[in-house]
Amino acid sequence: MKKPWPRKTLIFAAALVAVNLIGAYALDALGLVESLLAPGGLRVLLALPLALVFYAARLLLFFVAPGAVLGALLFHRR
Amino acid sequence: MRFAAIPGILGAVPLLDRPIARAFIRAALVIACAASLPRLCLGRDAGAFFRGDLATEDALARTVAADVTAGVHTAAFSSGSARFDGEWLLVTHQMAALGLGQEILAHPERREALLPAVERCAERLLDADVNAFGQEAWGARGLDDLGSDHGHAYLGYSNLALSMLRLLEPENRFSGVNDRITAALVRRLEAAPHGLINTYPGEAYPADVGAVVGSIGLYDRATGADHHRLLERWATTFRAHYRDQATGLAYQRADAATGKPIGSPRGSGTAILIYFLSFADPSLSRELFESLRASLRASFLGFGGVREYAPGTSGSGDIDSGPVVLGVSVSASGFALAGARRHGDLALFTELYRTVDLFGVPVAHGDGRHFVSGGPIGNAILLAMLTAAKEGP
Repeated sequence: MKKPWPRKTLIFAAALVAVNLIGAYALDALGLVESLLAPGGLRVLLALPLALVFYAARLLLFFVAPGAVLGALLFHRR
Repeated sequence: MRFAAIPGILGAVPLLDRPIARAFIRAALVIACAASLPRLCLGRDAGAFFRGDLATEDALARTVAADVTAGVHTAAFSSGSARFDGEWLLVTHQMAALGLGQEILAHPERREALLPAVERCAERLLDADVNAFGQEAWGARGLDDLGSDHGHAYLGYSNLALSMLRLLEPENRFSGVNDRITAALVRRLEAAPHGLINTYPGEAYPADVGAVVGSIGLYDRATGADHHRLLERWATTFRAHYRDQATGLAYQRADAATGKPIGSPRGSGTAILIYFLSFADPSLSRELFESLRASLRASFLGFGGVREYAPGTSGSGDIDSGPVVLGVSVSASGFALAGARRHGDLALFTELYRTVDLFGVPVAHGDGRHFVSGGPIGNAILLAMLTAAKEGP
């Protein structure tokens, strides 16, 4: 029986790529530094959590995802 | 059971059917990939910046020029301290002028496009709002107080930018004020019993005096004036008093009246001194760079940083160091790019730039490029550091 590809891992990696690409431009449009340096503004309420999610995704994308995808593909069984 | 991916190899090893073995291999793969792939994916422009590639440098220069031309004001900063906000505004324009100036010197064909932005920086550096923090501290605006004995050492930052403009354009509308500030700083430095002039009343910082010294050195280069005896005397005093004898690193603060260092030698002050002193005393700049490289370099998985405190000392982050994460200072790491480029250390430059790439997050917009987490001040500083002139023969 042919088992499906390790879809969860691949979708996770694809999501990290998307967050990394879209998040960079979203934070840029929000003005990440300007938002963080102007506390009290409404933008910081959006920028801060977005920045935390973005940097977590960026670290996972570069330091965890490649090995996780490789491992998933290696142990992908038919 | 067989493994489809590599049936001929792994399929023959029944041990690999065990969950614990698979988990171990997966973890090993994650570690192996983390140790090898990120360094290949990130920091790929390091070589281009190090070589001085026009397209790579110019993309960042365009953004910095656009920022200062559009206008940067104190409202862009809110550190909670009017003094720090003012300092950041000053540094934004100083670093923009230096970075853009270095770009023009390296690529004269960009002069026409970038020189107006350097002039704009000079103009802003003399504005009342940019100098308000100094006026608040001394009770008089630094530029109106040049005849006094007050230190106003922060004027060294502005004067470095004015001297850079002077180098690019010997006769410009700021030449007179550049002459007057230089004369005042020279007089104050000559009168300083221990080679330090105060930035604020009762506060002296060797890094700020390094900006003063750098501005005099660059002024001499631009105008043909000669203050080499003063600069040599100052360097001798600096080596004797303001470098830690064990590590060679620079102290962050000292008492101008007694010449006694205060606190520990620090990475951020040493790293920015390496850059500032490169305009006046390349030998001292190199000595400091070698001390920093020997004592403060941090490296992990091909990513580099500079620690704020030497081994055996510790402390927290502050406005100078920026955030200190696992001992690594954001400011010291960014400033050290200039030292690495200036003194020809491609390996350190590449490691530091990978870290900038990872956390700075470069994005492109049209012909421009900038770092998302930099903002106007961060991008101006990075332009100045990434284009710092290389040591001559």
